[in-house]
Amino acid sequence: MSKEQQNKSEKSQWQPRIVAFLCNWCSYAGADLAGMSRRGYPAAIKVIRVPCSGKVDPMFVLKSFERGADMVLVSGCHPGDCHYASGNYHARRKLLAFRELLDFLGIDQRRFKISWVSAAEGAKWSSLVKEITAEAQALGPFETFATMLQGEPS
Amino acid sequence: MTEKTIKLTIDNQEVQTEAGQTILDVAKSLSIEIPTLCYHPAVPSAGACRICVVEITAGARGGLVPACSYPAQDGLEIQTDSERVRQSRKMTLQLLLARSPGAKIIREMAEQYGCEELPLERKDDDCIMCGLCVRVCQQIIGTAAVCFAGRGPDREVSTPYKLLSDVCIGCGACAFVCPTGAIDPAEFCSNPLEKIANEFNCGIDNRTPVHIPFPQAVPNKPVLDRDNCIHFRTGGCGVCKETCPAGAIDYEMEDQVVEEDVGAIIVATGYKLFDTKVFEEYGYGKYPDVVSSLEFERMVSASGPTDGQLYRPSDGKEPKTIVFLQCIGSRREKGGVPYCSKICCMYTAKHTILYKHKVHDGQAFVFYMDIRSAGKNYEEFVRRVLTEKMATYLRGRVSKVFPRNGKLVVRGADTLSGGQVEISADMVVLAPAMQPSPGVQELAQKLRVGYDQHGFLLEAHPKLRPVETNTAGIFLAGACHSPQDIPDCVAQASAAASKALGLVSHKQLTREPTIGVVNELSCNGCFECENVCAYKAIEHKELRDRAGNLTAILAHINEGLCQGCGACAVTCRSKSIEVQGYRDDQMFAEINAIGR
Repeated sequence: MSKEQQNKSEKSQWQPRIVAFLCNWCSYAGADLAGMSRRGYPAAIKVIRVPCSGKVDPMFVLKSFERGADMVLVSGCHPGDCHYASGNYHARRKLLAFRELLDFLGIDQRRFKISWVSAAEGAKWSSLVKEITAEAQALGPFETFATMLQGEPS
Repeated sequence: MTEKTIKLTIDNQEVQTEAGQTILDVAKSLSIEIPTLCYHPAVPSAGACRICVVEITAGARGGLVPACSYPAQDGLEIQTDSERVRQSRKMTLQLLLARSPGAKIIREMAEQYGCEELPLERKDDDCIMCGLCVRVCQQIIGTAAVCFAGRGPDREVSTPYKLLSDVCIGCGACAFVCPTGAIDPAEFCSNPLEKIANEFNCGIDNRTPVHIPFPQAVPNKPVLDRDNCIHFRTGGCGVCKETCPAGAIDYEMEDQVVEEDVGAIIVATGYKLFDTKVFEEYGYGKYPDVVSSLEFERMVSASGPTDGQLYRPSDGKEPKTIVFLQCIGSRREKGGVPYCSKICCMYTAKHTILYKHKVHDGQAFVFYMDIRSAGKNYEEFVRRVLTEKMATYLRGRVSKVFPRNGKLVVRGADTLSGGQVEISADMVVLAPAMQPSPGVQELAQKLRVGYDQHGFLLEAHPKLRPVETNTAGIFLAGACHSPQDIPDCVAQASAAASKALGLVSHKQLTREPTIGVVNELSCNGCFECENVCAYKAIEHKELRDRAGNLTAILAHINEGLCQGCGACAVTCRSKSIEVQGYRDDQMFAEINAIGR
């Protein structure tokens, strides 16, 4: 096996690391439903449960990128359906503004996703994860922070 | 004894009563029945029909007097059913019978008094000239739209100059009080009351503005439909108020918004039927003999609009051939709903039995996709329909229903024999899909309960918490959750009720431990958190020094109100609020663990 071929096969085996913050009531339940309905989705996604999408601090997103996430997803209830009345509205305003600042930090905006998945949408969750995993794969590894941090004591 | 108290004897019963009443009133209080025709408690009596005559035997000038208008006096002795009274009533009735042989009440009374028909010229007019309608229209309604006209043999009740009346408000009070049912306001009113479709009977019959919504209504009491009430539209009428012996009618009453603090809410908003008009091939709404299963249910109900008589809506004939179409809108991805409505297989089987019960020589056909008879004794029930040949089941879909020679042709496929079938039917019954009630999504958003793409409300867990929702204290029962039949609804409602009781029967309320906590050392009292809290859980806490001087006002979280969403924690600029279980250090630990 030549080195080039080896590189290629390594790259095809490379799995992105996606950190997903799911609200407890809609998206987490939707992901749960996907599992209960025996719907598969890529294991690249690592789920962190939060009570509400409004609980997602922009710092969590940055920390995830710093710790090597290639993509970050925040998913909550559909607008109007928030279990906590208005948490997803707060999330939407805050995170959309935050997304505009990602360029400034040297993060491709496409690496940060926001979605609304209800507790009944197991199928939507499964297809969403497949979709963004493919996109993360196409974007390749996120190395900006790793390069910046190189040499610094961790 | 005061001056106003009088003493009299009716049918040898002595009675003491207040003055100012009629003999009829006193007799009524003694439960002595005196027949009447022209009497109505709402209007002063006229003594016109002479049916209520009674005999005064002592205490006044003796003789026959009308009980409805003769005042009760001290010392009277009265016989209500003496030979003389009976003779008088008999003669009156014989004359009335000659005039109005068609009136049911006259015939019944005449029979009771043993009248034979007199050799008189028959008039064949149901009106007995008692004038009750005229009195009601003048004295209660206040419009005087009907009055007596003509003299002698030409005397009749009519509108002035026998013209269509624009004074008449079409209230129908005259028709309502008429003892013989001789009046139809539509004949003389230029503005007759529109018919109001009876909602409970799917509009098959009509109802009055004052009505009991449906036979098993709780409370089983009449309601007044303000939009259709003559009183609210014209200011007139008011007959119901005049006649209600309990004085229960109050036109001044307004709708009220009642606020109650409750510990649990059970959502049981039910279902609606799919609008089958969108499937034009079945012709619902276009051909009167294509009915929905709910309409069929009312038609064959013994307490329904037709007293259980089954007839075709178009011509009133008994349908000898009937076709039931199942899955109208159900299990139809395009244009319908993808789910199975669950109840239609069973009620269609029941309908075929009911149909056979009503029309012994009738023939029923059922078009079905699959017979889904899962449930205790359900399969046996359907099996009985099949083996006892109550109906012919055809597995397949119907492509078109169209009229031909006064019948409806149902054209469809029979996939088991592999051929096309055409049935010439008298009546077609559609089984529409079940859908959640309209407006349930807005309700769900108000209650913070999830719902699926069809609008059915979501349970907290499909297997382990089937009647609870994700919002504490809110429970589901019935078809708002999913299509279900009566046993399922009852089971779910019982479960929801016991869950709700279980919640409120405790002295202390259990809450989630994951709520917000303020770090008072770093909180600077900006109250940004207050702006984002949806539960008004942020309180102002005053800190004082030993001398009692106010040193700071800080945020404090009410543990009972906080639901732990964490919106405040993210908003806090000094990071002074943490949600227990989701503290920042815990969140970062999780993120770190995922990282490389």
